[in-house]
Amino acid sequence: MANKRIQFFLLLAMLGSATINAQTNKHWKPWLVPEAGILVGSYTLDRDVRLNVGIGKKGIMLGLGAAVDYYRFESYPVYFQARKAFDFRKVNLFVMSSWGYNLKSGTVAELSWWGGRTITKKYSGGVYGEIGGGNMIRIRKKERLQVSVSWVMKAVEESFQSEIWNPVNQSPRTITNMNRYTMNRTVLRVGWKF
Amino acid sequence: MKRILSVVGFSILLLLQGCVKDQVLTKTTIYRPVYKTKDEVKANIKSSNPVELTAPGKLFYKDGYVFLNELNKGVHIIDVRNPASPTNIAFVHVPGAVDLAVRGNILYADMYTDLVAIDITDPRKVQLKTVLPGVFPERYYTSFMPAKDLVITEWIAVDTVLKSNETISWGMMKADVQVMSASSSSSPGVSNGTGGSMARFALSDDRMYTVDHSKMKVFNTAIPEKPVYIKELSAGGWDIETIFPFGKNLFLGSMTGMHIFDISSKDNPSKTGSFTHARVCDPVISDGKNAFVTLRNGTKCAGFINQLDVVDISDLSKPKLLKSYPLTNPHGLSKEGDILIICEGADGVKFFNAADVSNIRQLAHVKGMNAFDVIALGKIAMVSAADAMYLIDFSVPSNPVVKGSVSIKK
Repeated sequence: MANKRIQFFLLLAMLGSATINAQTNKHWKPWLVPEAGILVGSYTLDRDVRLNVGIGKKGIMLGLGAAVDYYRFESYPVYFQARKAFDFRKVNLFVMSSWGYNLKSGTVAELSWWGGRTITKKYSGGVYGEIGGGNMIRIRKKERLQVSVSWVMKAVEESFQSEIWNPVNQSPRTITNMNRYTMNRTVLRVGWKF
Repeated sequence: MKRILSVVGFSILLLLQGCVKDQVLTKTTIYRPVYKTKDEVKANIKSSNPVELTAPGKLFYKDGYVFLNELNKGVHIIDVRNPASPTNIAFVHVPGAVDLAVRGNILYADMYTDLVAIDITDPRKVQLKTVLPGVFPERYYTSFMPAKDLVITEWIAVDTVLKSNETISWGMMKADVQVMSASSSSSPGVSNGTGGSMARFALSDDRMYTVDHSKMKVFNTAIPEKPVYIKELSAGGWDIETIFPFGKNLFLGSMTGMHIFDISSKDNPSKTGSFTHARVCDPVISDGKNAFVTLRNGTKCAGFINQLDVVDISDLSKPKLLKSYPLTNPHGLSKEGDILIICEGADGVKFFNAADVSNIRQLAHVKGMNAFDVIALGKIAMVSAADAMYLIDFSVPSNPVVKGSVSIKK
C-alpha cells in the first residue's frame, strides 16, 4: 500500500511538472484544480479527492488528473480531462468529461460465510469515466471557486475461488468466480481553480 | 438570479442519482438441474448390463452381494461371493438415488423425494413394485425444490453470468443436496441386509427408519414390496447425518453429537439419551456395550477435530465418554468381533484391536486408497473408496490383504 501511495504522488508530481512546462506556452494558459467530492451511489455515500492540471485556450481546457476514490473499494483513477467553459445568462458555467483507468490491485483475505475458510480476493482495475458540469465563481483575478455535479463511474474486478457443492459426486468443487463491479455515482464537488 | 439558476441546476443533477446504481457482473459456475417427469423416470427404473463405477456412494451388503450406490444414478449390484474376484453383474437405474437398503428381495432407494421399492429377485431384470411419492421433501433445500411432477435426473455444471445491482449471495449458489444411505439390524423372517455406518436408511425387523437434518421417518416393511409410510418424528437434534441400528436401539450421528432412540415400540421410537461433542462430521456404530463415534473436520462439517470417541452406553440415558483416540480424517467405520475398522479418507483404512476399549491399539494400516465407508462381515471388509470398491481379507488382522476390487472409472 505504501508503494502505491508513493507511485500515486509521483504521478501527481509529474502532472504538476506538466503544468509548469505549459506556462511557457503563450497561447495555452495552464490551469490547476484541486477538488474534493461527495460521492452518492446505490451502495454507500463516500468521498474522493482529485487533482486536475492542464492547459486551456478560448474556453477549451485539456488536462490530466489523478484521484483517490474511496467509494466501496479504495482506488486511484488516472484520466484525461476535457472541459468547455461558457457563459449562460452571465453565469460562468462549464461542462467536462474525464476518461481513464481506475487503478486497483492487491489481495484481501476474508473469512467465508461457512466452514471458517479464508477466501483470498484478488483485485484489478477498470474503466474510469465522468460527465458533468458546474459553475465557476470568481473569487480573485485568477482564482475561481468551482462547484460541479457529475456522473462518475469506476470499474473494479474481483476474482476469488470458492466451493460449491457438487450434487453429482456429493463433494465440494472449487470454482473460480469473478465479480466485475461497475460503480455509477453522482458526485458533488467543490474545487479551487488556479 | 445566478444563484437560483445554479441551485436549480445542481438539484436536477442530484435528483438524477436515483437513476444510477452499482452493477455487479458475476461470472461463476453453478449446477443446473435437468428435469424429467416422474412418469418418464419410473419408466426408466430398470436394470441393465453392468456399468462402470464412476461416482460410488454408500454400500449395502446382503447374501453375498454388495449394492453400491452410484450417486444420483442408481445402484451397482456386485457379486462378492468370491472376494478374490468380485463381479459387477448389473446396474439398477434409479435417478436421484443416494441411499439404499435391501430387505428380502426388495431394494429400497430414494428417488429424489420419493421412496421406491424394487424387486431384485433377478438382478438383471428388476421390477419396480412401489413408489411412495414425496416422503423425502427435505431432499432439496427450499431454493432447489422441483415441481411436484418433476424429478431432477441430472446436474450439469455450467459457467454462467449473473447481473445484479448489488453483490450476489454466495449461499444461494450452494446446490447442497442431502445425502442418505442405509444400515440394518438382523430381522426374523425376511432378512435384512447390512448397511455401512454412513447410512441414512436403517432396517430393523420389519421397519425401516430414515433420517434427514432433523427428522426421523418410520416405514413399515412387513410386506417388503409394499412399504408403508407410518410417521415422522423429531430426530432429537439438528444436522443428523447417519443412523445405525443395534438391537432395540437406533444410534443417530449428528454434527454435534449422538442420539440414542429406543425402538421397543417399533412405530414410536423414543429418545433415551444423547452424547454431545464439538461440531464435526460424525458417523456412529455400536456393539451394544459401547458406541464408537468418529469425528472429522471438513468443508461441510467445519470443526477441527479428527478422532475416535468411545462412549459407554451401559446406561442408555446417560452415555458418557470413555476415551478419545486421535485419527487422521475418519469417515465410515465398522466393527466385527474385537476388530474395529475405520476409513481414514485419503489415509486409507486402519484396523484396530478394540477388545479393551480403554486401550484400542492399531494393528494394521492399509494405505493407497481414499476410503469412505466400510462394512465388515466375517473376515472380509468391503470398503467403498474413491478409486475402487475393495474387498480386504482381515483373517489376520495385523496383516490385512486386499483380495479383490472393482475399479472406478476416472
